[in-house]
Amino acid sequence: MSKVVLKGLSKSFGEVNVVNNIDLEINDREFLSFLGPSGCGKTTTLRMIAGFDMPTTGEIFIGERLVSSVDKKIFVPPEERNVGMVFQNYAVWPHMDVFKNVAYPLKIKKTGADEMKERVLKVLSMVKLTGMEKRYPHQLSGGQQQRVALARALVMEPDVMLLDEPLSNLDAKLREEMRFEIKDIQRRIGVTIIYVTHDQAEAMAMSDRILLLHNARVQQLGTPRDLYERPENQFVADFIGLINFLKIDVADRDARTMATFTSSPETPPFEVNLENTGKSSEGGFVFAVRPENVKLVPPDSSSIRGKVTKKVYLGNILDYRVALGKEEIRVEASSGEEFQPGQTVGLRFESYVLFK
Amino acid sequence: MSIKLRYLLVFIIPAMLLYTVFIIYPLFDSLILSFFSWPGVGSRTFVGFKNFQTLFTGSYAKELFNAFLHNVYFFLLLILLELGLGFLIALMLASKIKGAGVFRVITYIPNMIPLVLVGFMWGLFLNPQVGLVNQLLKLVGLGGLAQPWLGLENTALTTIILVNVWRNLGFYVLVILAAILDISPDLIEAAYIDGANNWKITWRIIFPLTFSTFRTLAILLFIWSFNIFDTVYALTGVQAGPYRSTDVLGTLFYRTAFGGLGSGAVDMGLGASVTVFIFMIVMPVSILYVYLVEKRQRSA
Repeated sequence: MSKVVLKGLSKSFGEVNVVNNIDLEINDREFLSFLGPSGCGKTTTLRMIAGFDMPTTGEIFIGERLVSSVDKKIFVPPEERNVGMVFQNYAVWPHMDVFKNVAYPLKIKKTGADEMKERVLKVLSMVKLTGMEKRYPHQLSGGQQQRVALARALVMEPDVMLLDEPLSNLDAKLREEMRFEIKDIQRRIGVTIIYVTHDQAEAMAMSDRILLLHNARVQQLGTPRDLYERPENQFVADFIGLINFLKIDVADRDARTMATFTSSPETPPFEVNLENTGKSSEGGFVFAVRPENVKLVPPDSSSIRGKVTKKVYLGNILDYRVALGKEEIRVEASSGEEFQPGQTVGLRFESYVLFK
Repeated sequence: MSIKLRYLLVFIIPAMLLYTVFIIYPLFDSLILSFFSWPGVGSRTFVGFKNFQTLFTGSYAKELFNAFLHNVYFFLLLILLELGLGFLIALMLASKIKGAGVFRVITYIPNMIPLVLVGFMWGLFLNPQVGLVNQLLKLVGLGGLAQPWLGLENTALTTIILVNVWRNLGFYVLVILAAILDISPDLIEAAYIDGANNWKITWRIIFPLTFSTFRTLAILLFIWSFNIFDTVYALTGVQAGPYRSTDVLGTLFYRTAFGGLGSGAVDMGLGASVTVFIFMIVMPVSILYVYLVEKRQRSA
């Protein structure tokens, strides 16, 4: 139907490898984001799915159809892949009015005039641009142009839609509005969407699953919750949300696993649980804990002590900096006792992840 | 403030002086001269509209009309070849074929050769006995087509036009190429994704978006076509080929004003009236050109 499958997909420009061996199965009707910093390979991967760039190795399936295979020397050109695409810069043709822009894919397929009109008007109402048919792109705002681009991709009723950072050029408020609209349309029509973005909040808000990329490699594939609560490596932990990293040394003592801070071994050790890491309990680790998972308590209530160095009132939360030995961590508190800079506090780690 | 004005004048006046002496003054002088008869030396005789009468209804009418038609033919063929071929070649160069960069340079090289030299070179190439063109034809077995290209009425003018195209094509290719490359690749990729093939993209996306460039080039071609002189003079002389078959307004003027073999009496005034005629044809189009450029600058 409208699954998309990537097998061993790579792309290199000469010596430079920009996409490294991606295996991915995108389910029918799924909203999947390619997320990552600039230069990680997400746009190149999208373009290979669209057919604008030729892979160096690997295969691409759209639906049941093999559209690209380096070994079998198969390459279906973009005009025959029946995917819809929305570009970052909208790519609306300046010499055609809104109606003609949106109708263009239908015109190519030689759709009858009546059917064309019906479908164009239907899709324009979906993106809330009814009444704008005769306007030209230069008479429209950025957000409106983006909606024309969206309508044009939708009118083909494609199985798969590819969106390349479509909201990057819009202001923050409009971006949030459009996020809901796009997600809403996707749910209603049931189209599979592959969405490229560098904005993690956007990816988290819209996606069923996220593929996080960095330096041409897949860092993690999972739901937003998976990536946030169970990051598989330090890059993922750092890229999504805020997090504190502390180097610790771990040793077994009396059937308990105890950790001390590498930079200040004089501070009392605290217990850690290594079950989920599947690693032996000796050696150095990186202790990763999110600011909201560090609880500040009166100094007597915890063996781990720190000193508050900074406190910022942000309305809904208090943003603390707390010195732990020689390190400083960030703590967010939304309730509970307040502490002042200079005060010694106890710390309790509610949830954390360990990396080797 | 007055100091600024002084500096302004210091910079402008020399240029304005040159402009007035070499362009404004001769322009008006020619205009006035067209109402006189003047053999080049001696005194001018006022003749009113007699020169124009001679040109349009009198003894020169046939030659004038003949030359005028040749200019029109020049224009039409140039539009077809320079813009048509230019567009095709520019499209090829834009599509990133291997060697596009080299080919671009090669296309432009003839453009760097001075017109008169081009005329001279091709005069040699087109020599019926020893010229390269006929030699080449014989070499590939098309010897039957070898003929005195510049010596036959039917082929002379077209041959000259082809030489012109050879020389100028590079310029048009570069300008059109720049206009094509100006189009954001997104616009073209969006068309591919929507299912369009190369043919549709060329005519429905690329051409409409480069149309204003074609319009400007067409105007320039018009002005060029009616001012043509160098190549015709260099290839077929001022007598303009067999039976005046390559005569254009430029060569007609030259003959009338400065004379040449068998061209009758020399009359600068009559020559001036030919230039007035050319000016009247070219001026409205030039104004149109300036208007269009201004309009684009204002809206830019």
